[in-house]
Amino acid sequence: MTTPSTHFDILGLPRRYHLRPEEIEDRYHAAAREHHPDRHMRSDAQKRVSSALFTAQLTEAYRTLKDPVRRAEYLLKLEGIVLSDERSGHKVDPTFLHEILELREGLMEARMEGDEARIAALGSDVRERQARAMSDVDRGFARYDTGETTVLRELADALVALRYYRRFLDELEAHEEAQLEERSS
Amino acid sequence: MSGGLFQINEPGESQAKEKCETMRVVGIDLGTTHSLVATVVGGIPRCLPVDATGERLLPSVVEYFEKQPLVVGAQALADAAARPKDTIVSVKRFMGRGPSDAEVSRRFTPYEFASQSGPVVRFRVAGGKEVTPIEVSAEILRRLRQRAEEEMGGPVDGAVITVPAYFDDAQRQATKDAGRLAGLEVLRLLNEPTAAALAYGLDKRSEGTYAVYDLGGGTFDISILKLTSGVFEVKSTGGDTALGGDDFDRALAELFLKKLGKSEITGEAQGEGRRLLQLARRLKHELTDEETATTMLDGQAVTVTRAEFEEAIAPVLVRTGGPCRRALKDAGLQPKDLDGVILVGGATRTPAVRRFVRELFGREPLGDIDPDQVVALGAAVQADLLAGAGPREDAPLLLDVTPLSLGLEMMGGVVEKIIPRNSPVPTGVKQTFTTYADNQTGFDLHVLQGERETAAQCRSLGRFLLKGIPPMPAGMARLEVTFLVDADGILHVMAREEVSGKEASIDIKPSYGLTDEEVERMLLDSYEHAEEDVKTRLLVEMRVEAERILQATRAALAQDGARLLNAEERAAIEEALARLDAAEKGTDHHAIRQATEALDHASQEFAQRRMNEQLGRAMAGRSVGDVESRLEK
Repeated sequence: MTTPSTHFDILGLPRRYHLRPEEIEDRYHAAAREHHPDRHMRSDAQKRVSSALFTAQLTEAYRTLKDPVRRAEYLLKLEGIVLSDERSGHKVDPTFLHEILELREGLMEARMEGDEARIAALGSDVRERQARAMSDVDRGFARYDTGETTVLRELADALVALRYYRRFLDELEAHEEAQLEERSS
Repeated sequence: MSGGLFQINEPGESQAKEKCETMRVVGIDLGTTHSLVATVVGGIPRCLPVDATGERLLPSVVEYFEKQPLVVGAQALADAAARPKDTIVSVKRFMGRGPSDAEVSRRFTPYEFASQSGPVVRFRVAGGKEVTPIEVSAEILRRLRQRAEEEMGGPVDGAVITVPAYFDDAQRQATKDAGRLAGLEVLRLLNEPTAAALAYGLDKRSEGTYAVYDLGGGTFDISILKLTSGVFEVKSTGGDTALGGDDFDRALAELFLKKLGKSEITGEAQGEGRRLLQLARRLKHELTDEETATTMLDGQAVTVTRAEFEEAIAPVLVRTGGPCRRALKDAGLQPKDLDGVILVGGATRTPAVRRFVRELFGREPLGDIDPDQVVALGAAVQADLLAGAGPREDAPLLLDVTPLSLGLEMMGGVVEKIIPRNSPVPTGVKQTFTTYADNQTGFDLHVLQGERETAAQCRSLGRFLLKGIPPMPAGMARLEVTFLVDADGILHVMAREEVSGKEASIDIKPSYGLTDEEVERMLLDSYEHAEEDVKTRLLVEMRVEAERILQATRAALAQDGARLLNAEERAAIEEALARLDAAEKGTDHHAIRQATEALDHASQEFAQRRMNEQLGRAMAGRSVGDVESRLEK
């Protein structure tokens, strides 16, 4: 974990967004077969430690690149674009924030009233928004992959939105799971 | 790795021994109810007999006596009801657990626990001896090792020991310590469902995605694995380390009491609890094939039908559903995407379990390898692979995951995740911390494991005290800390100061595991504990804890006290603070503990208000694992 190379370099993949999942997995498997500590059980302590550390790097690269949203965020980071969050102090579009707040309030109300139909409706609304943002990201990165690096700045908003949608859906899915468990017990 | 890197625990250091060409290696399934040892002979894994009758299952029971040597296995099991306090069964449920864990106070549990047991539970057995779960487990492992050595005609060079996939760091550490204590070179801790998949995969040459549903005596695991040529990749795992066939016995025991019109067990209460559980277990086995089963209790015949039994255990089965759905979701799969479901563990013989799994996954589960043996067989295969590692390029590789998220405690007790659950292992994260005060020379990192939002709801892995940072203005020091979870699922922490290149050292206060010195001491003197040692250790632990809460409370008061507290509330906290400050300077660890608890109690409401604020702020999207973070403590 001390080399400054990118996750793409580590797995021997081109620095692009559109990659086939099998391609990423195959690279990871091949590299792990070579570097995993299980392959170096007979080596000296130094070698085993470095193989564990390198495999941890492989793991981090695989975990980041196999998920399309994380992969997109990582590409932005490589291009020096910091997503707006509380740490960077960057302001998120207030109109969008207002929408999210309303959605969250809606979810909170529906949960208090036990209005499962409304919860389900909110869920499909946010899933639709998520799918739209995702296809914006997909389309934008298609341009990036062909060399148009300036497009990335436009994608930051969509990626920030995806974070908020993910959080919303995590909460909603936790609620659905709790309901399911209550019903089956 | 350059010179300034310090390690408190070098990964893989325990395997430093020179390996000779012909190694005798075994796989061990250290189970809640019984344990097995297996080895690969001529390419085929086999379980070894554990007694003269050729039995493969060694009951995981250890019986202690005042004046004669302890007994492990069937004989100990036979005496369990008659000598409940001196006979330890299901010790696995206590591994890596502290005196305040729920397991210790469960109904029908007959043990006597040592009162001042520090972070680790101790059983008080015959003759006032105190033994830890690690020592009890080591006796089981030692017995298996001896049997294997008799069978294989020479010393065992290495062992793979299996653990439930959902075991946390403390439970893994405890298992590894037990192995070391039993004189075993622990090559690897292997997750039980992964071991089972390995046994199946190699046996059937299967490819595809499988779910392994593993309901053992005391633990439940679900793992989703993808088997491709040469790589077994675990996609996700989930479970419950306090859920298993034992719970069926408990449900049946409750049913007996109900039928007898009793609510509590009376008389020789502790022995009675053990006897009830044993009767329950016998009936459970009968009900696997029969529609009704009868037993004599208090001179009355008690009959239980299979339907009643299934109704009684339904709540236990339902609890396995959540982890299964979550594991599928984490793997990004639907039940229809699976190529098969594998059943592991003795409890999956119960027809209701098979039915439940069939409904949950919408397919008939596979169970054609003996569910009692399959884990040990897989462990033997892995031991064989590891012993031969290097030259065999075609040997399959296991890629497992960490079952629980790893996080750091931040201001206000909120946990920030640094390694999410289901990350492949080994896995690591590097974080850079900086000082918040001028000339600050150290700080404290609290590492936790679990999925909840606050430190109090997660399991504490340990506090790392980073010391020896050279004096610099606030924010100048750059301390790079590497958290590495190794292939056994055990955490290692390494740190270095980047600006000065000077050494920063780490002290760990382990919440559970044993240090090398402790293992050594136990090896030398297994049964007697130097009273003074225990007291000194307790005192040190209490002081560290007191110091931490003192500092945290003072910092919190300085920051938010004026805003969130009225004068009366503030005075109450400050009084508790002063009391702890005074107690901490003394040598009475009881007094320090009491004062710590009192301060904790007095500041609870304040902490809650601060946490609400924090959570409010944390609602905004924030990326996990940002490299740069500032520790504000």
